[in-house]
Amino acid sequence: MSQDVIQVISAFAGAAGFALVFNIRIKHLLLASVGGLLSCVIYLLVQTSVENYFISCFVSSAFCAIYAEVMARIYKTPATVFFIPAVVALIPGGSLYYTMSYLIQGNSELFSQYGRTTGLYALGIACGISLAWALWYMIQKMITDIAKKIKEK
Amino acid sequence: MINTATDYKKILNTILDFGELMVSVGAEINRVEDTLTRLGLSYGAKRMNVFAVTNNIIVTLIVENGTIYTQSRRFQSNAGTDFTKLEKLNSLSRKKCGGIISHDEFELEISQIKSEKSNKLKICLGSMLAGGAFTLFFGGTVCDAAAAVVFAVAIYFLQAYFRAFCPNNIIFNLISSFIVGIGICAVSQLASLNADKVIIGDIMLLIPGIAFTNSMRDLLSGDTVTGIMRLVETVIWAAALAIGFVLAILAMGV
Repeated sequence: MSQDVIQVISAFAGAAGFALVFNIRIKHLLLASVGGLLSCVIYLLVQTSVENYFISCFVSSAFCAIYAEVMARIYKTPATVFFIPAVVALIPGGSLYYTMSYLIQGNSELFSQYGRTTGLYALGIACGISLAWALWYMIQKMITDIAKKIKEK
Repeated sequence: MINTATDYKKILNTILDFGELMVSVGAEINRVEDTLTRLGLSYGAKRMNVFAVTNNIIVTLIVENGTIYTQSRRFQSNAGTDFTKLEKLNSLSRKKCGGIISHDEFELEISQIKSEKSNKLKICLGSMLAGGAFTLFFGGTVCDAAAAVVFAVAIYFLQAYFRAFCPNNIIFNLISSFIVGIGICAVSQLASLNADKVIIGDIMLLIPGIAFTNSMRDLLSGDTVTGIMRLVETVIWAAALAIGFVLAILAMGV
């Protein structure tokens, strides 16, 4: 099996694992894990086409935020329930570990390289979800406002 | 009908119980402030002022006749998350605001949700699944994943039974990552596993990911104070984790 397939499957399993750790209701388990799978697929697709960590994380985390908001509307739950399992595969655990490991080894070149990657990951995730939430709330407000005006007429 | 001062004082206390519980199960602060405001208004308050941060809530309730009641609640900031309780609290507040249930029923349900024990097996299995899956995700072999599953159980036991003895999350992260790090390094040397992959898989279980994303959400929604508090907390927690593992690796010479 290629590494990509393993990553997608393990992202699905990892998302399910985290959903269980956070005591999710079993009826939401499957959809929460599918969020993790989709976010990993999107990350890999963007990564192969643009080869930029920041942009891949940005797009993928923005997707997670929208996915969670949509699911939250459908199932009437807080969006966090679907958001956390979806986004968890994007957390830069690997590069965080190597950053600190090269720090101890005193390899300043690799340390700064991995440190930058970790920072870019975190920044990409933060920017992606921030932008997605901002757009989501704007659109939501516009729709409710327009609906209100139509009702008044 | 609620009209006496004692009634409002009790109501305010119940509202604070609700808010404290929400924060402790992992709700974002702006959701907490919003919900408490709605609850207060549903009790007939003319105006509600809610200020919440990660370890303190202050609520001021202004009644129709102009009387002002204020109470505050200080509690320990933690990184606990329980989606089931969060959902239950969410629907409970909807029921209360919709006027479906009375104050007594509301109070009763709060204490029921609070005392509810989470399913330990579910959380333990989840830790195992997540630890193993993320070891594979970051390029570990099947043997590495098996080791990560074993240490995920260790992390689960530390979280379930050792956390209560730690004064705060910083100390807990430092000590537990050190213990787990020592164990992983020892096993990896004996069984010639990739210690780095095993640690990466299990580190995911300890990283305060929810607190981090909640801090982003709080910052974005204008709760700058809370957002910065949470962000600084998560950075300190993550640093404690890193230091714990670093000490373990240095001690074991991997």
